Amino acid sequence: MTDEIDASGALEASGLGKKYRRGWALRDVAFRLPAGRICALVGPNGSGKSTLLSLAAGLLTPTTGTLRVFGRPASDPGIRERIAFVAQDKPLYPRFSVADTLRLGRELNPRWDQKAAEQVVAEADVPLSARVGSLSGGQRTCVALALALGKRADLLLLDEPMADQDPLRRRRMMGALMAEAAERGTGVVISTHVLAELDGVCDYLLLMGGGRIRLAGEADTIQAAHRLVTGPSATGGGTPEALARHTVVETRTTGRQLTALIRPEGTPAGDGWIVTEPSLEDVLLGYLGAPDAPPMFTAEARATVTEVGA
Amino acid sequence: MSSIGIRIRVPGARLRARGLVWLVARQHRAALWAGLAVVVAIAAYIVWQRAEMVGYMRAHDILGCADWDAEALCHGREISPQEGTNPTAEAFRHLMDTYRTPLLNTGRLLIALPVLIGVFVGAPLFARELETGTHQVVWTQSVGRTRWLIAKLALPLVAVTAGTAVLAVLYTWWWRAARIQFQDIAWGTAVPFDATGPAAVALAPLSFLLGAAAGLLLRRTVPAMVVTLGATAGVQYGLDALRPHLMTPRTIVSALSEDTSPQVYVNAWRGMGNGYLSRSGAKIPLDSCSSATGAHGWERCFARLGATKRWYEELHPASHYWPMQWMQAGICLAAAVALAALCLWWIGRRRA
Repeated sequence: MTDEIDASGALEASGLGKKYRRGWALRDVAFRLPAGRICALVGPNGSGKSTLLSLAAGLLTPTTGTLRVFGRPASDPGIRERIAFVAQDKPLYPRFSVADTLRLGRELNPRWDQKAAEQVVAEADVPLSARVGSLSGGQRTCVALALALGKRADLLLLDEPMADQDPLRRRRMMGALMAEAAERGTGVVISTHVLAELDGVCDYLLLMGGGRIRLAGEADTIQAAHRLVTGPSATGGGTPEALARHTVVETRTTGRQLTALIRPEGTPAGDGWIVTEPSLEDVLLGYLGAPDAPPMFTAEARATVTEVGA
Repeated sequence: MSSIGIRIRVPGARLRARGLVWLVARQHRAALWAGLAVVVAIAAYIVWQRAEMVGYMRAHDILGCADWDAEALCHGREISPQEGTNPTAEAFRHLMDTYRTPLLNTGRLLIALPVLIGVFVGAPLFARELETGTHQVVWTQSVGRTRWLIAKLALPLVAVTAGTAVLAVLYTWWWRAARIQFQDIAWGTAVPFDATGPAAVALAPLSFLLGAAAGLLLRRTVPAMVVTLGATAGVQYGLDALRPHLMTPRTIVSALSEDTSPQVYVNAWRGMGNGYLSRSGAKIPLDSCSSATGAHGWERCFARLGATKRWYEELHPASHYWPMQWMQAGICLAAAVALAALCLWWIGRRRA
């Protein structure tokens, strides 16, 4: 089974689109996420993150294109036991106790790991006898995470799992996720807009905006492909000549000084320009602040579905 | 790869079925106990009422007597004396006053039961899950949606049908004990027909599935409950309207047909139609002249229509009760199967 995971990506989208009654939530999405990666799915509200995750979880069907999970269509019932999903609003049965909720996982999943699930709940100090309906939002999220982790899936899809967690619990939950990923090679996709959560945790990145993918690939490759340059701003505004041959993602002007996030082509230097390596957060903020910046896909993130099919 | 898939699926299949049964039972645990309490309470009441009633009839020796005709006798005693009264007539009056109302009211409660089942068990079944998003919890586990739907339908279906069957059997047993005494309770009316026999039992799965299908399609609890209320009440109303036409009524012609024993009136469902016969034997319903006015307008109207003195009455004899019961049960079960198929089709369209 491991071979199978490795052979095809955990997620592979091609021409993927989803239209709701109010309009397109996803359009022409094509990317590849290799198995076993910890992937951050970043983007402003309404950029299509939840739609993409729901499609991957098989809860929605695409309007156009395909989304393959471990090489099979996301709607394939046979793929269900290999993926776990925590939806944004963390739906759980409110009248079930925590123990009942874990029992649900045990009853409905052949690979269930009771110990792992109970550990997540215990670490969050949620009593097993508590009714789910009486839990705080953060505690409920922990139960939902426990249900997902106990499933022993090969891919965890988590829609804003940390949004309502206090910092301590957030760290513990991330720890549990990372331990699972490290021990079993489980792939994880975490959608979030808390950028600080991702630092040093995620090795893969998907940035969405307006229903499209704007950045996709290994975090360090993406980070290395960008430079922050600071220099004199051009007279009369606009992009200074020195940056013209690079791909400029975003520029900010402070007085006479201009800071730009660029994807350098060749040496990004010039007289009087200070060049620094941006943090991952700098890159993400740059793209979030510039919705029209040209998208970037690393070689690994380019969809290969069509080649496989040919 | 496919061999791996099969190896995983086969041992898993047994486990999953057990799992879903557990899930559905756990979800409806409270409703199950509440339903059981209701059934036990009503059943106990029926048994007690019937025992009291039969005890009274036995004590006053009026078992098997019917007050269907002024000349009818009860074990040689007069039931409706021309003048004054007698102990038998008194006993009949007391029986009417004391035991008829509980019988009718319990019947009314029982014919309301399918509506309650549809509205409170059927309608929220899927609607509440789809409304609160909890269906996603199950849909993202390792079981298929079709299996989930079948489990969700099957368990409550068995429970409501079994509960209704117990009450229908007991109520039939109660009603039949006094059926001959209470000649004014026509067997074809909603009470007792919809509260007795297989017809009563079949209304439960139909109403439940009406609610479930409404909830599945509407995805909202309150609208689904409202629609189910209308649909289940409409179904019962429609069945009541349809019932006289399920079988051809028997026509009784008075003063002529010596071969027709007056016994045909006993336990009959009367009032399907009556009027005069013309010389050629054609039926002239009594309401043909309802608009006639004047002192002798009515007689003149019938004379013009060619009416003779021969009177006819259309009725459903007691022997029509069981065939009609099975016909109505069949209609309800066919509709229930169609609704279950609709639910399966809907979930299949959403892919598993």
